[in-house]
Amino acid sequence: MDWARAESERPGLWVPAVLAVLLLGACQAHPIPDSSPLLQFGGQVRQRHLYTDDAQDTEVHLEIRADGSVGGAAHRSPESLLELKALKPGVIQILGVRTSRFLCQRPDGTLYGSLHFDPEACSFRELLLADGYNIYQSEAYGLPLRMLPSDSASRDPVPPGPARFLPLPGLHPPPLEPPGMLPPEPPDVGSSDPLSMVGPLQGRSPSYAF
Amino acid sequence: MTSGGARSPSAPPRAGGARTSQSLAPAEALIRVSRRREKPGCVAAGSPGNEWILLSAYERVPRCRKTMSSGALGRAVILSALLLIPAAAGLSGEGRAAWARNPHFSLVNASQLFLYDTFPKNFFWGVGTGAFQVEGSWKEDGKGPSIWDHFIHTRLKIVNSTSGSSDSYIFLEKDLSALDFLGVSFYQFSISWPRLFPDGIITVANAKGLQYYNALLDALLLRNIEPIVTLYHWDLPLALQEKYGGWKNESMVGIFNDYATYCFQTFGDRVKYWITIHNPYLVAWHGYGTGIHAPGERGNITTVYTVGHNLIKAHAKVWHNYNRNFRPHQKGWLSITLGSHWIEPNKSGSPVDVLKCQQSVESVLSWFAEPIHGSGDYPEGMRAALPLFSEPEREEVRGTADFFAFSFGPNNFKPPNTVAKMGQNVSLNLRQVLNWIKLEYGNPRVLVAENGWFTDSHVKTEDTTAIYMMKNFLNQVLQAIMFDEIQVFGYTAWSLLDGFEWQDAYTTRRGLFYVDFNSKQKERKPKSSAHYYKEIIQENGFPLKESTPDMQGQFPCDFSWGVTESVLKPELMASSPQFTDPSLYVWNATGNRRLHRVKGVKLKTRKAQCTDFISIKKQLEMLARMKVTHFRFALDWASVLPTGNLTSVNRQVLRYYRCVVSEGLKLNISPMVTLYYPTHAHLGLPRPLLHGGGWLNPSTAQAFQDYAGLCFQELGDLVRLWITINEPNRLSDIYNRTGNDTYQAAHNLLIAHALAWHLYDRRHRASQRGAVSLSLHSDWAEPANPFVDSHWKAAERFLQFEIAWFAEPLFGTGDYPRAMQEHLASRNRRGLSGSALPRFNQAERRLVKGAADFYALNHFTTRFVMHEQQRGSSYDADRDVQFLQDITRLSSPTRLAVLPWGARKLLRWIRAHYGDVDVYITASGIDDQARENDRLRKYYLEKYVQEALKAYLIDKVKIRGYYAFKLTEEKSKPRFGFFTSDFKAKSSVKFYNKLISSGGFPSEDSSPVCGQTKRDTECTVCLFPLQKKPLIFFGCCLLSTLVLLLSITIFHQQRRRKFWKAKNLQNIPLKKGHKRVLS
Repeated sequence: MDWARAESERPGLWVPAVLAVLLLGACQAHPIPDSSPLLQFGGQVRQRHLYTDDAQDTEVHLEIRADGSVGGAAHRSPESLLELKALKPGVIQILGVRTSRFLCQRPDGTLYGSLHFDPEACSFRELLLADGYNIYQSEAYGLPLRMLPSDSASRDPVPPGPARFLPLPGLHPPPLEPPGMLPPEPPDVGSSDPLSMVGPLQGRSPSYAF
Repeated sequence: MTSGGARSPSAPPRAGGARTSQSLAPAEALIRVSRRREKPGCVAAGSPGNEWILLSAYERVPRCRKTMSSGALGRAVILSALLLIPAAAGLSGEGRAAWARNPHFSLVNASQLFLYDTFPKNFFWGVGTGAFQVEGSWKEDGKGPSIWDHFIHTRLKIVNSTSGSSDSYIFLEKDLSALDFLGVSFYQFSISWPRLFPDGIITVANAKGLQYYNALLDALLLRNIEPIVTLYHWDLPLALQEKYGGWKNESMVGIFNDYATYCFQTFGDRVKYWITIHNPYLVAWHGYGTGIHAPGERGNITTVYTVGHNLIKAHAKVWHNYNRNFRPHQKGWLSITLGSHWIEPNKSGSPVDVLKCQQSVESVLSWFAEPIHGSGDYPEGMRAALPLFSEPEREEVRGTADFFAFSFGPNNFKPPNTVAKMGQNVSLNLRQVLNWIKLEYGNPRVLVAENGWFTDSHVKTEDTTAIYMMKNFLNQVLQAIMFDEIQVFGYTAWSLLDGFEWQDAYTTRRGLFYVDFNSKQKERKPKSSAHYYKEIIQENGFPLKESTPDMQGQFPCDFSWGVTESVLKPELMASSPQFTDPSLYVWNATGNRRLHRVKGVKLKTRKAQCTDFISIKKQLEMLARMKVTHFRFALDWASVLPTGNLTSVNRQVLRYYRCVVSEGLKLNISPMVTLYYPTHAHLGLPRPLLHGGGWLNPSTAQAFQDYAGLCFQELGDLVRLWITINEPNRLSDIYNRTGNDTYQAAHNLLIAHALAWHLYDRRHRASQRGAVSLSLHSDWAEPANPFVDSHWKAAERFLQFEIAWFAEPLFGTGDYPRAMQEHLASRNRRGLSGSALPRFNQAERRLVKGAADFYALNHFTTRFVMHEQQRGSSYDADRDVQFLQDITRLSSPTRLAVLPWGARKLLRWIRAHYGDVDVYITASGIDDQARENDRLRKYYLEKYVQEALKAYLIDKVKIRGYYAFKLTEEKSKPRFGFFTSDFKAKSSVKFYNKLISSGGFPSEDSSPVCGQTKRDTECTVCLFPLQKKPLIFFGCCLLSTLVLLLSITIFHQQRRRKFWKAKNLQNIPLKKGHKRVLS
């Protein structure tokens, strides 16, 4: 009788115990490696065009040009593709993808593109508005990011308030150069080596180019 | 027929074949002529069109014949025939299609690559001279003065006409031996008009002159060399110039005809090919326009065109004369040599530019070709300025050539300011001009009557550039024949001898044979180009490939298929601050749309993990797409150790690199890590070391050892393959101030590598079981001129300076290569250089020798090397080499030649010199402009891997891995990447991955690749849990909850059953108990 009782009780006790051990083991599983909380945004760095229609005659996209100047382009251009990357909570840096220049602001509020990142001049606080637009402020100076009206000669009479920007998804810029071969150099027909076959400048290693 | 008898009966089969082809030729030629003349009549007459039936040999004409025979067909058909005929004949302007852009054009198409093939059987190989250029003896034996004699003495005073000549008139035998040497099938020479008729008027010929040409002709026939005789190669008797004003005067037409008649009568029994005038364009343009040729008149354009007009008429008259009076029994052919430049549009495909090109070629070539080979009149665009041809004149002129004799050489390009460029780019593409001629003039039979380039006068017999110019031109002719179906039947290399080069006098040389003009005996010494041409004639083209046929086979399963990347720039911090900031924030709490930190709350941040680095993810994505087994990348020394010593180690950077390695390993991609990778832009040294003299300072080697030790320690448990330094032998481009600098830097680099290797050997090898070496830049070198011994030596010397410089100490003797030491010593002795190699002491020698576990090489291309003595104490000068680009070869935008067989030769050379070592090709690739379909890269990969396979299977070189160069490219840099700078895959990725999965080039019936199946099954088994981790976890939870629930239910049920059982057992007392309960 006692034996039968013990027999029937045993599985009842052991099964949960084993399961508990198993589950404890499962609790120690490693985190899933690919678990960036921002992955739903397609990466932690955003490539965007900053669109604005404030204080402008027309709609423009902020662009950073090769010479370091900052202006507005009516259409999205390779120069207007910007990389927005967080530096610390609420603060971002803005990098021109084409020109590899950071968007920076002078103490007087004017904008320029710099090849070097100066944390003071080139960090911007990103303020999200309810309507989807953003406002950017220089972190150090607290000045709003705004673009001078295209007619820069006449100073803006309205007091400069913050300009609203809409980050538009970055479309990849069109290929910079058309594919295909460049036409070969015309031969130097006055020379005994018209096709420039002989020359020392052919020995550079491709490894050293990168 | 008499001439046939004169020929030796034991004619070699080649020459015999040539004869049969010639005997077929006249019929064809005559038909062609008649077709031209009947062109307008074809439709109008509606005649039986019997002559058209003869024309069936011609491509498009059968269409015309069909229309004719079915005479019942309506007007429409006839009209369509009308449209077709000009097409068949080739219409003026049709040549424009020669510049049409081909959308399928690709450099790696067979039709663009160097063509290994032979010319048609019986192809006519020849060589040419102009009488005035080589004969000399300008007033001996009764020769009269020509306009050029006069021109030299009055205008080109710099020329010493008495000394400067090859004296062919005197040394006929020497010319004949030169022809024998080459083995040509014809000799194209010109008759000096004033040597036969001193004052130009045809009376009694000068006996000595006559004797010379008779002797020449007889000697040629005796040798089975066909004479091609030019009547007029610019040396007009001076008397005719003075009396009539030369070619300005129409009476020259008749006089020239008389002279020609005499020549036909006298030499026609032995001559089957006649050329009336050589390059009339230059006669008119430079003789009467620019004045740089005799008679040196600087006239207006009307004079120039009048001269051209008279030349055309003179030619036509002579042709009719020959056709009527001599052809019936002499059975020869006659034409006029027309010359041209070639031109390419500025913007390919631009219709405006193409039109300009067409005009440019028309103004030179069509000026003469259109009347003679085309419509009988001048090209439409030029007619306004040119003299008028009357209708009978047009009839007289049209079709007066039995073949198209074409000259393409430097004279039509010189001087550059006189070439009608029309703002476009001149070009030396002979194949394209031939195509243009085909289009414009209805695919005539073409004799290339002059082709070649010149060398500077100081070049003696070693005319290396001339070889490649000839190779280029001849291969284009071959391509034109094989791919474009152009009927080229002969080729004249210009010229047999060095001689007088018109406005350049003796400052340039064009001979296949060198002549020292100041010598007495004027020996003809064969130049390299003569040897080369002789070979081509013997082989009848270019049948011999450098490489053996492609083979099928596979690399072993453990072969590492890799891809190379340069320095990986470390990410210094995790990409997002969320991972490191423990504070909690609230947004927009006060309505100012800012984040507010909640004080006093600290969250636990997530542990740092490799996915924090976004660049790694991108790299892995690319690597996974490539399906490589190995990934080679370089660390940034300056980032790891900013101060250059171990006092401050940037752990974050090391963690980044460790993540690259470990994440790669998760995808089964093993790393090959390069410790130091200098480039032109960044020497890659930590700043303090750079300021301390860089590699010129021996202590840098010590610092490198410390750095290497750190890397071995931190990453060594995961890394099996180490490269200490990438291409130390190319740092010569940076430490190039003096040769001594270069050699000292190399010395320190060698020591640095050896120290690192020994450190690994001592401390880590036992536990980590890896291998360490250094990558040497190892291009192959071929002699540019294989006929010159010094070039062979230069090629070997180049390899000694480039490769053995580092390889010999490591894999060989422990000292610098003897050849290098000796060459430097000899330069020092001659006072050419002051540089010397550093010396290894005993300890260093022991250190260096054998300090590499495998041979790693970066191979990109093969270079053609020539000997050129250089002055100066730099590394580049010390080698005494110069480089040459073989223009006939496929090459990349940065002019890297694609010569796959060079890779195999290099691998064999390494095996021969350094024994049976393991070999890794640690970088090999090419730049390709294309952003998507990179055909050049695919071609390169296929061919180079093929050669590596041959080296592995046939030559038994122990190749263990191939690393394609490189993963990504950077903006505005040569495009070497499999991925663009914005990480888009090019089509070579797929191609490489196919190559990898098949392990090389398996034959169709071979069993599947070893690793493939294993890896596949392994993957499906192991990858599934990896990929579906969350699902599995969730499933486990669900299952365990279910089991728990189930077990609880069972447990309860059992307890209840037990309870009832107990109740049943105590049935009777229960009543009592029941009562008890009730109560």
